Amino acid sequence: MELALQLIANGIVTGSLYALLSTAFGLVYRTTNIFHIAYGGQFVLSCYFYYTLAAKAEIPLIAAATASIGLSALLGWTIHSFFYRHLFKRECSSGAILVASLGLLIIIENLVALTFGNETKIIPRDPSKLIELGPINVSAIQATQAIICSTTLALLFISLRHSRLMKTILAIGDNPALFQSLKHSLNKHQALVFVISGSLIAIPAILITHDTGTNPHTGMHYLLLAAVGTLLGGKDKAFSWALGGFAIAIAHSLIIWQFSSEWSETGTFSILLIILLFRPSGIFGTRNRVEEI
Amino acid sequence: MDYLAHLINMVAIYAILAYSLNLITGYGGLLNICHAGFYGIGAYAYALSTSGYEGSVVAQRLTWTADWPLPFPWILAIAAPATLAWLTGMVTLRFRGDFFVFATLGLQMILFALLHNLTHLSNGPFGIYGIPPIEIFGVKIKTPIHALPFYGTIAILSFLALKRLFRSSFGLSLIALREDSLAASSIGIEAKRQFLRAFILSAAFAGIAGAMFAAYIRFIDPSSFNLKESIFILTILLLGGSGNLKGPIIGVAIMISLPEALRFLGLPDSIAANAREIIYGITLAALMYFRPQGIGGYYKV
Repeated sequence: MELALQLIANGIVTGSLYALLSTAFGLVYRTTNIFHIAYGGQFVLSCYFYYTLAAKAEIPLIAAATASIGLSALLGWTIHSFFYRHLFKRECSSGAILVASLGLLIIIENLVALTFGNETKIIPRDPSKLIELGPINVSAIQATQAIICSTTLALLFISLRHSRLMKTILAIGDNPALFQSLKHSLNKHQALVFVISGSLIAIPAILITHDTGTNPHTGMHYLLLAAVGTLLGGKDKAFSWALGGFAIAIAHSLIIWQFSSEWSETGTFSILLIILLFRPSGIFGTRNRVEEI
Repeated sequence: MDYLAHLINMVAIYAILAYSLNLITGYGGLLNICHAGFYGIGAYAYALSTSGYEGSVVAQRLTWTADWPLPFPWILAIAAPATLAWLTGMVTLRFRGDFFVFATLGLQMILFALLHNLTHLSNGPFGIYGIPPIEIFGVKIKTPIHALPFYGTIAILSFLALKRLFRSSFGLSLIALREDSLAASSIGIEAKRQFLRAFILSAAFAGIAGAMFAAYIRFIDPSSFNLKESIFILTILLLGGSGNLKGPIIGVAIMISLPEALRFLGLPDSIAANAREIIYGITLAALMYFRPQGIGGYYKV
């Protein structure tokens, strides 16, 4: 029982990281309909921004983290204005954009590997303190991760619900043609989506790098987690992306408990395929988006 | 000479992979990223059904190995991925577009994890070594030059079989579904059944390529059949072009000779692997922008 509680606690901590990752993916997918595979590249670059600033340049952690988030937001803008925007201009099909995005991920991953080497980089730090909460032990880093991620998520959801700008952004996904005819600039708003999503990716990226280090080939792994979270929860509503992320993390904990960590990826995808079979629009999805023939 | 023969053998293997993927991706219009998974299942089926000979080191570690005579390992290598494609196709083919891509990506991850984690069946990351060479009429095929006529024949036969398929009413019905699935279904073409057939057939041919690879290299491990390999096969097809007969072979010729050309440039090994990947990435992104139908292809992604 204690083990189960501990695993659920770990699931919630990792869940808050995954929830933020899924939200960053879902925001792009919901508004632009891009299956943003280069997301993995953004994640890796954010990790290395932080690594370079914190471990190489030895800037204080908070400043390094803030600067990395800024750089990552800038990267999001760059990817939109120099990559996706041109693909949109040529009216590429969604399959073509997906493949191009995959190409971009491969380019970024290997450029990082060429620059920093293929091995895992760790940020030197003191061992983290343990916090005891009844039968559960949580390390100080885990607690920080959960708090920062949940706060960010809460702020994001409040702004999605109440801010006019964020509501406008969500409207892009519903009907881009109508959006433009209401004299909103599609380009600017899409760029903004990438900036927000870029800065959201950076937060879990920094926290994970700080805790366990990073290597150039983690991008695909976290992209898959984020995408599965979004699809599992359902594409339409913002809160369902986050819940999808939590669901995966808890499933992972249970799989590690019952089997071993080797099977966690198999588990993730099996769950996704089963859910999509019975509910093609995700657990909390409303519209059927899979076969709109 | 051996080197050249080796290259031609690899072209033969990848040509079968590219042409079989052409069936579902080029003709059917569904981007499939689990081809390497089926390729790997074929390779493991062949390796396990031949490595059970006396004195085999691997056989002692595994629950099941056999020492079947010639046609049977090949039949298993075709049947195993085809059966698997039939079972998984019923799930993945419920999706279209981005969702199909993602479902096959998930399948690829699952197949790789199975090969990697089921250590009693597949020997896990250590792979299967000591796969016996093919023996035809008492001659053992051990060198690339000896393998050349045999592999060339298989590749040409597979090509002819696939060419017949492409030009049959089945191939045409796939094109019809790709261009306009609603119109196609209105003239009595059932999307799911035709796509399932295409999926099974493409997996079966990938199985042949897998058996060829296992018998030729005589050592297989899961890392030859991972997501990267699937992306590599897809890159071949998209670069050469899909939806017709000349596209895939152009892609195979370029993608197989590219690493060799880079080797002659004399890049150090540490850089070469990453540099090659970067070229693949740029190829994919640039292709989708400038020429979504590939160099000699017909179908625009």
